[in-house]
Amino acid sequence: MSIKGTRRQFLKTAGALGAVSTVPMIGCGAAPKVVVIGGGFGGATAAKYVKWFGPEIDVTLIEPNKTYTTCPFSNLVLGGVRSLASITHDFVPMAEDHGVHVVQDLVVAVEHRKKMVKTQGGKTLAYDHLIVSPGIDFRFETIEGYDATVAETIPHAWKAGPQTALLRKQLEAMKDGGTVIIAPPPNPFRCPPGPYERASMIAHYLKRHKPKSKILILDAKDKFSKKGLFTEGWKSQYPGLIEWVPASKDGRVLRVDAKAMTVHTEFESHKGDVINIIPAQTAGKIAHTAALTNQFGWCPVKFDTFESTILDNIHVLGDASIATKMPKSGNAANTQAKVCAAAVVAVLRGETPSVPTTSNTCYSLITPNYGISVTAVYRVSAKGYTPVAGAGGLSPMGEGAKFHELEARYARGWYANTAKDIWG
Amino acid sequence: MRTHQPFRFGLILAAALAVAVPTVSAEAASKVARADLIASNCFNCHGFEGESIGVIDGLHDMSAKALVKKMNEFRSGAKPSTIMKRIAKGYTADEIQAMGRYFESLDNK
Ligand SMILES: Cc1cc2nc3c(=O)[nH]c(=O)nc-3n(C[C@H](O)[C@H](O)[C@H](O)COP(=O)(O)OP(=O)(O)OC[C@H]3O[C@@H](n4cnc5c(N)ncnc54)[C@H](O)[C@@H]3O)c2cc1C
Repeated sequence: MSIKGTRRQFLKTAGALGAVSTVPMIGCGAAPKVVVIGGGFGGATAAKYVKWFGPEIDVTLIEPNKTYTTCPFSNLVLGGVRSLASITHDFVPMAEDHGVHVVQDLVVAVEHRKKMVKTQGGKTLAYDHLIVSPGIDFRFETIEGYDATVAETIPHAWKAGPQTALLRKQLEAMKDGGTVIIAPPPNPFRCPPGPYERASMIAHYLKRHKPKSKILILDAKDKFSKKGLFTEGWKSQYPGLIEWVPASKDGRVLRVDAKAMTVHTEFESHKGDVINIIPAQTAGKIAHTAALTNQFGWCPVKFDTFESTILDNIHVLGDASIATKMPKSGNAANTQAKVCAAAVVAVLRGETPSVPTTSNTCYSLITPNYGISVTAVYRVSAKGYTPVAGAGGLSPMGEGAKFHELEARYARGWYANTAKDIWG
Repeated sequence: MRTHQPFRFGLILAAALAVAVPTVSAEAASKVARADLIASNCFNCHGFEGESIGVIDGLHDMSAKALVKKMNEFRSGAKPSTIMKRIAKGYTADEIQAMGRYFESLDNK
């Protein structure tokens, strides 16, 4: 039997034991404790992989929701090509197959000196290492007239779930010939190609069901991720359907009038039948409460371990962290979590963490059968994560239908395997 | 492992664990293997531990030699691809060897 086989077997055994809480630890005193905040891309991966690298460690994952709906592929829900159920995952395998204690609760405080966290439900949990992956929060104050309450009628849909369902419902209810306004945020934000994939998927729906309609993208930026590829795809798939207005041409939305269903830029106003405002972003609230953020609202970390540069023994992953050239993507959060998990296990065993190499692949769909991608392999230095020169990059321009059909297939392959890697 | 384990079974597992601990500690001492960490980069598209459930090929049954050969062919363009050329070029020969070693070590050949 291979070494790997032995360990995997052990993991299964240890996992089963985790479920039988009355069995005492054998021999070596209490197991080291790792607590993870957040069951999304970063947190769920970290919890599973601390166990994978270090079956002897006691891992608790705290997440307020019973299930997690992924933002990846939520644009396909808007396009009517996937259901919300098909992108929703639970934590049953986490608890039953991987031996992670799953606590359904919200962390409200981190007591750094005492090395413990407190939950809304009144629990106190001690840790040796804490891993924090709370995702993002919105800076509603950056757009006049927009806040969490208005978002119940003018959705952001930048956290998947009810917001996605609401935006889909509005698209279904819209008359043919209507205007859909999408207002993407300034950098940095979660999923740089996301707003433009969203425009594509909404266009896919409109083209088939409401062909006289239009999409108006009012952008807070002058360029965006995969711009050449999106523009090429829009031209061939949706001629005349999508208009993009950059910030330099007065694209930036400053004010929302929810009653009049109008958005205001510096010089103009635009009326929408469906409006999707994606506000500027900051690290998830608990990162602020725990004092893990810098003056820009994101969390600085040591690059080889994702340990906070502000507080010892607390690691921050995913969208909330500053991972230099790595984008705020689910795939990036996943690979960062593996690096962090390996580092935490190494440190708890008194070893030196190994030097990480991370990667990221982001597929976007222009139609269900037309995919594009960007990928990179990253190396770490004192300056942070830098993509390997001469590798990675975008899908080539000018490729034919066959190439893009394959990339669409691989996008679905990526989704299935990534979801299994994290919540399976 | 999704059903509840009767307590007796738990005890048997506990006994198994007691035996397993020294083996695992010995392996633990071999460091959190860099090969595992680097190979885990492949799991997003090719499946957890290389077992794919989607349309993308799995890697769990590949020998180290076959994986290295394929990666080199992607790199040079000898084997056409959509994305693998871009990815293969990002890793060093040592890293590709390490990935190969990891998938070869899986106990399912
Ligand atoms: C429309 C859209 C499309 C996207 N498409 C892609 C894609 O194709 N590929 C890709 O790689 N990425 C994509 N992304 C980006 C991806 O969703 C994020 O980068 C990813 O979710 C980041 O992971 P995270 O762990 O940082 O945060 P999240 O995944 O948001 O997880 C955070 C979790 O923490 C929990 N939490 C927050 N606060 C607390 C607390 N106090 N206590 C306990 N739990 C807490 C939350 O409930 C949540 O479950 C997309 C995003 C959007 C919006």
